[in-house]
Amino acid sequence: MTILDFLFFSLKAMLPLLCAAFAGLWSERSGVINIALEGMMLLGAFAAGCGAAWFESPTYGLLLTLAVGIVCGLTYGLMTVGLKMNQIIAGTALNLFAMGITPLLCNIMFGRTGGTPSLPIEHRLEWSGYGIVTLITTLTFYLYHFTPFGLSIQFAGEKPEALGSAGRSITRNRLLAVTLSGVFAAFGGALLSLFLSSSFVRNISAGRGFIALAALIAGKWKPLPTLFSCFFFGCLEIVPLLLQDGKWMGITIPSHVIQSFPYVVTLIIMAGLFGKMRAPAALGKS
Amino acid sequence: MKRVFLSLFVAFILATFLVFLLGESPLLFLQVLATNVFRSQYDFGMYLFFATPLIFTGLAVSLPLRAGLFNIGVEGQLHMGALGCFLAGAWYPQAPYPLSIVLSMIAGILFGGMWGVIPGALRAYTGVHEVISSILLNFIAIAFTNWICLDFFQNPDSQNPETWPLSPSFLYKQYEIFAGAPVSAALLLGIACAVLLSALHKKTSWGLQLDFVGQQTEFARSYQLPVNKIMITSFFIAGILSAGVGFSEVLGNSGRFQVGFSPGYGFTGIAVALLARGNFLGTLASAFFFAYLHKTCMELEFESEKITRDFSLVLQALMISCVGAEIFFQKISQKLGKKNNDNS
Repeated sequence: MTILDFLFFSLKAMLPLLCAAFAGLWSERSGVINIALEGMMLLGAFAAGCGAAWFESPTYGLLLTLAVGIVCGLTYGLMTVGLKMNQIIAGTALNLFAMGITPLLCNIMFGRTGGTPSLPIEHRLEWSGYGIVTLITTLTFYLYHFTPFGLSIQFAGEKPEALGSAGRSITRNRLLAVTLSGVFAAFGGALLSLFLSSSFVRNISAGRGFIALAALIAGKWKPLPTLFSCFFFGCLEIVPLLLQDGKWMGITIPSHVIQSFPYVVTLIIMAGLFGKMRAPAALGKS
Repeated sequence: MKRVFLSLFVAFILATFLVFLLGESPLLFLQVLATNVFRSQYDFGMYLFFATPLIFTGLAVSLPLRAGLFNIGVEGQLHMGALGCFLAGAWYPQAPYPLSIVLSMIAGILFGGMWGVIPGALRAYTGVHEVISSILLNFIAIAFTNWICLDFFQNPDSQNPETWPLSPSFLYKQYEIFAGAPVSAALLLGIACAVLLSALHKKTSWGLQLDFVGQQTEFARSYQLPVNKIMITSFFIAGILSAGVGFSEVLGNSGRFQVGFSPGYGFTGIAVALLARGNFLGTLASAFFFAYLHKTCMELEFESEKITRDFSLVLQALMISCVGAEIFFQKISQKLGKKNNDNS
């Protein structure tokens, strides 16, 4: 594998992570811990796979993903901001729900729990995948740095009282941010099933929602550093492919060890970096 | 307590409605729900067999929960514990009967405890949020145990991804009354653990310290409480408790380590603990409750074309959400109560 190939594959691998990480960015910057990124990605991936399979076009898959993302984000927002549930409990509940309902619905609609039907290339995303990510990235950067909305969200996460005295609603801003989070995470999932592979398979996200969270933390909850850390984590995913026949410098490394490589490195990075990270001040406090 | 039952009732209504939305008959759901465990001794035995790991995993989540920490890594911890149980049998197969079980249990405890310490230590010394570290460790543990099982101990006589069986001296005796369901002493051990933890928690200063750290972590530090030590020990004990699942599965059921033996016991344990809200005896009851739901979903998979056992996860999500939301309703009714008092 050449360096160029490696970079190209890493870029592709980075895209779902990036969407999920930006999803996390919006939610956590507004003060709402979001460990439900994994579940939202799963639901988005499933919606995309379903929509594309039924209507035989990726556009409908994406439309369905948008709808599911909005519903997901709103629900999570209502649970955390509206009902003021403990955010980790709410996130765990959403994750469990997503892990359970996707194979269930898959079984009801397609007769099997393994995954949605495999899609031919015309029904999947090719260049539009990059387009979506560019859109999400530009939107995030623009809204975050250059609009009052972005500023309000940052205040909601750092000093919510200031928002109150400025006459803006903390609840509304947080709800908006979390809904946006749901949409982005769902699109991240859609990229998984329509762009990186040819259908939705059970547990297609395989922990990427949590790796995205780690990338967000490593990126200090800011858009540009998060972009770079996502690329780094994308590279981590591709490194196992570098080892042809499981041999590295002549030593045979078992496939399971190779598979766990991204998770181990993520853990080490988190442990090493962590002292220097500063979360948004009002994160997790309702 | 009354409110917990109310919120569970609400969750059941939602679940039945969901069954209807999925295109299945709610009557079938309710019928299976009401009767499945009592159909035969074997069914009841399987119910107890599901409950045993849930007691251990529920306790494993409940204990750090009291200290204000979320242990989501139980799935990984129980895999390591089960592997430890098997490895003891693999290394010393000639061990005579009681010694063999003791060795296995000790090995399982060490493996589980060692894996459990990691998120606790990371949280105490580097501040890494235990949720993320334990989730990552789950993946790592499953990959590791799969590697050891498949690359070193794969059973040559079997197509399944599992190790060769341990010699019979390493198995618990099964209770015959359950007509073949693998109920064993692990169940009694689990109940004993719950009772013991509850007693320790209420009667010792350790229990008090645990609660204090959970409620007021920063104050605890200024009171010179050994916060780090409490965090680490709670995770260590949680890891030990997770090994109990290994006892139930390896020593009490299959006598070998099978890849994928856990249908998400670790994750269900989270639901178990959250329902009980950190109360240890409540965790015991909650474990039996969720085991009942799980058995129902297994049965539903046979009797219904549409519903599969994954519905169990959906049910867990509904239960946690309703109980979690209940706190909100409690606050609302408190506020309403205050308003009425002010007006009069």
